Amino acid sequence: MDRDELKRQVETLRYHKSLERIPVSEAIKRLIEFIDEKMPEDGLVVTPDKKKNPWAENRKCAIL
Amino acid sequence: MATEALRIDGSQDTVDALSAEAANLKKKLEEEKAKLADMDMGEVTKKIENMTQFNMKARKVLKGHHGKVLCMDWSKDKRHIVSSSQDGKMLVWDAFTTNKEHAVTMPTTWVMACSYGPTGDVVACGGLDNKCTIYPLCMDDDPATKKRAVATHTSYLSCCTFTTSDKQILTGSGDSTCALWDVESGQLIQSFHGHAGDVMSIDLSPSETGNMFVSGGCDKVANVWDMRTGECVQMFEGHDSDINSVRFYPSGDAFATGSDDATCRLFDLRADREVNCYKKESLIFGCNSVDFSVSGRLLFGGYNDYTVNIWDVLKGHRVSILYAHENRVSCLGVSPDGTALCTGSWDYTLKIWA
Repeated sequence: MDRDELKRQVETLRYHKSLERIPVSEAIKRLIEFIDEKMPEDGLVVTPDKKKNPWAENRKCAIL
Repeated sequence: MATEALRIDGSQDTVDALSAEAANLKKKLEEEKAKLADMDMGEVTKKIENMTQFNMKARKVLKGHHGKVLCMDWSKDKRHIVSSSQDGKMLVWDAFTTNKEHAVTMPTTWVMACSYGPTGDVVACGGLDNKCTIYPLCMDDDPATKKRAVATHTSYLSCCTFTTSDKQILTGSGDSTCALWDVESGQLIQSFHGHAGDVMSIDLSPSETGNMFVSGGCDKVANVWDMRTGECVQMFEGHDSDINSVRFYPSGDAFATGSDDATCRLFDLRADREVNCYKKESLIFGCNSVDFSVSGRLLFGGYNDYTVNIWDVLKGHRVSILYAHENRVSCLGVSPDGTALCTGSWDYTLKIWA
């Protein structure tokens, strides 16, 4: 690494050191809260009603 | 006194002094992050119920590429898809009918990047031509007649994404930089230097105030950038091999990565560290692409063993496998309304799962 790159790296690291952080337990709690709120509308977790699902097969009888 | 201060100042700028300071700062950062790792995710989520069995099926197969599918993107209309392939073609699909609405032949093979504009009126793509080219979509004209090269890198284009409008596009390249471009003038607005290897993937923060994006690459590092200043505001290490894919968690507070080391990982921005790793001993193939379901509970990973592994983001378990394709799964994406997953593969096809 040349001098300018190193200088930039040190500046970046100084900035990173100044960041405020929260404990992991707190961060995960916030992720869980978001999931709890959004999960009822998640079409890949809760299978949506057939009428509302644009990808559901058409159940019409093929012979008719 | 003054001369001494001067000497110290001067010495701080020598390569040795800078290297020492960088090493020292890195060590202190690690110590501070370690202090905040008060719990592991498994402990916090122990009481949460397991996912019940769910059943995703292949609903549509999109056939038309004559080469490996390398990239795909959904339109905001939740119906159209753009895909690009190794044979130099970019196709625009109506995923409901599986019809191809536009086909563009690029002057290059390996079209590794493609992206739909937020208005749905424009697509962008590029690859080994080192460029990002914009194609306005219009039913009357061949898109190629109105094409415009917007971005130029000094190596291949690996990824591109429009920002919140059709007016700006963000690109990532094998030249180890990312760049933000003005679509109209083709001018470089901001470039992002910091990766020590090819950039493979970028994703914009979904939070409105964000102005941030994340990038991952062959230096095994994921960087979070401020788009306005060009500064790398956070750096995340942990992977043992190339990062092929990065994707923001839907709240914008975290992001996931997929890597050649056969793991996917979750990094939290506010904790400033890795908070979970999704892996199995039996799983030895690299992961090319990741995306979340709309709630963030599921993480989909497309792997080199032709499968899609579906992870429970909270519990860390694999909840299901899709035996998706007959070759590598190279790209995947959840539709904007969260009702479907699209996968693209080296078997020349794309599939819609719901």
